[in-house]
Amino acid sequence: MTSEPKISYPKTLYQYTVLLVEDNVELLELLKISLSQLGHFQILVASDGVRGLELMTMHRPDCAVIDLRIPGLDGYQLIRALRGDPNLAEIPLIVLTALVQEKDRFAGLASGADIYLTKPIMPQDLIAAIHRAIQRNESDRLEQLRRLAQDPPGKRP
Amino acid sequence: MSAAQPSSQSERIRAAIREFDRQRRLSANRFIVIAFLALLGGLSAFFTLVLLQGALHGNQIAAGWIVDGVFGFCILLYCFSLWANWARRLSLANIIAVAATNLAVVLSAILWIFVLSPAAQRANPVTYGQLISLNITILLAGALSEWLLTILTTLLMNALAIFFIIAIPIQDASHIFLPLVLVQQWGMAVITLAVAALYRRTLVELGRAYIQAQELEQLKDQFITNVNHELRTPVMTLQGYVEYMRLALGQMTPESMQESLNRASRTGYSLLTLLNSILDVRRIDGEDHRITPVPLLVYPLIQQAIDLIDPRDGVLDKRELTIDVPLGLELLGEPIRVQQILTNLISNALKYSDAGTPIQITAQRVLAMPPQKSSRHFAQRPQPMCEILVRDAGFGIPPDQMPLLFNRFARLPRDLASRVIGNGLGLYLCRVLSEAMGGWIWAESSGVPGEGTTFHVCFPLAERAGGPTTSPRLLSQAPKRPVRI
Repeated sequence: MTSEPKISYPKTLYQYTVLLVEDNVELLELLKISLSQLGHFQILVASDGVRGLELMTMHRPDCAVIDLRIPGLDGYQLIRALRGDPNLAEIPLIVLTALVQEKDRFAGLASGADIYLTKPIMPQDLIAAIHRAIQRNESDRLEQLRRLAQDPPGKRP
Repeated sequence: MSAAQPSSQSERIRAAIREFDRQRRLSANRFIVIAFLALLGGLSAFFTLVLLQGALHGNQIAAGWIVDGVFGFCILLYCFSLWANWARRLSLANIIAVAATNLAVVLSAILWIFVLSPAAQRANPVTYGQLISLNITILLAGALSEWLLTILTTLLMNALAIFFIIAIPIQDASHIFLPLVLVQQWGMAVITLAVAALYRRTLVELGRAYIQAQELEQLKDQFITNVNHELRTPVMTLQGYVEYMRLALGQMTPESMQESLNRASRTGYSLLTLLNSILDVRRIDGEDHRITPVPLLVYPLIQQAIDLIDPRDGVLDKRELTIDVPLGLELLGEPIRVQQILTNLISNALKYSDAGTPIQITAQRVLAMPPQKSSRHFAQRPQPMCEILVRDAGFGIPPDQMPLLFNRFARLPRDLASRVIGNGLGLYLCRVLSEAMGGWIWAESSGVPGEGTTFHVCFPLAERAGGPTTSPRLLSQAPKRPVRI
């Protein structure tokens, strides 16, 4: 009876944690179940910016999906706060918003988001975007580590 | 969110008027300067010919070149003025043009006196010449609409007239012309100023119409942007659930399936509500509302309105609800629309106040003054109306945000950052619907959280022949029905 879902990412040894910050309850619920079921992420949810920041500092997830129009801190403020924190600055941030205008996209990316996605988007596309963001981030970090190992800062003249 | 600040309205009208004035002066200036260039060219040629003819007879050859030199200078000035006009430096262009005209006028007057034959003086051509040139000069100044310039030019011309007619002894006849010239000059100035003032008023009206058209266009754009934005989240939710269930079919337990379906259906429902509100707005905006008002008893209306409240907006169970309506009070309106207004106001009271705080609904007969802006009420005198008040003890509305309240998609910054669900169309609909029925709506709040907000909505009163007496005093003494739910 149980057939494999048509699109599914293989379960890895390490389960990525993703934080969702979204104020629409129904949408938040949908993202929560679809990302955990289809993407095998561990999901943290926050419905306002302040809670989002709190969860970020407490759990340090691998990726965050942030809506721009959220109560408390708005999306831009949250992103700037995260980028300003040395412990959290490297976490890839995805903006998921209904603001589709060119200027909004610019403002979103300018505030420090890695990927700007507009609603509506299919759950599987969102999952793909999250994977891409995490992998790119990891390869960046490995590259950085490799460079550091080859050329430690202390050795420099 | 509509960003129309009331204070900037007059500023924007002023800016539009400035722009109109500017455009008009640009074209007027260009036209007048070109006309004067041509006139001066002709005059210059004429005088050169006259003087050359004099030179052939053996006198005053040098004067011709001086005259041409000065006229040439005037033409240069006009060219400079044209350039200033082209460079959009209007004041500079005006001043130069008027200076050049004055110079030309003075020069031609001197020419008439000193250069031409004494025979011409007999008919006192200075005065005639002056009459014509003064008219043109003052008209020029007036057409350029520089108030100060008009007055300055008039003063200058007066001085010149007095100088030429009194200081230069020509003939006695000139003294008859002096008062005439002065009266005529000042008359021209006054007429010019009056025309400018009238023109100014037209300009103000034009500016207002222009701003209104611009604002309508902006509102329309904003409406479309907002609709686009508001629709995206529910569409994504709905589509997302369907897609999720399609992908995860077989893995889901019946319970989670049920849950997802419920959520999808709820989202679909809220999408539909939003669409209906948008359609309502479009319908009301687009067409002439032909509402056939019928007399309606107020108390049952309130009851029905309460029954229609969406349970997700809040429940009245734990609230202390007071309804205070005089017996037999009737209003004139369309039942569905009145209900819609009341439902909206009451559910707003529920949404924007803490659980457990009381809500009061009061209806009374009042003599009320229609609001100034309402175009539907030409007679600005108090009318007997049926006023319904919905009072809550909620968060209140900051006074500075009050003017925006009844606009389309207007949501307070505080609510955008809160969990209260709303699409910003409710109060707009209330306003338009109540105005369509000949009533009006306004809100009252100190802005202090906890002191709450009172919404007043007025409907025309149904005066029934042979019904219960409807004097305000008697009604207020009539038995009331306080109801507690």
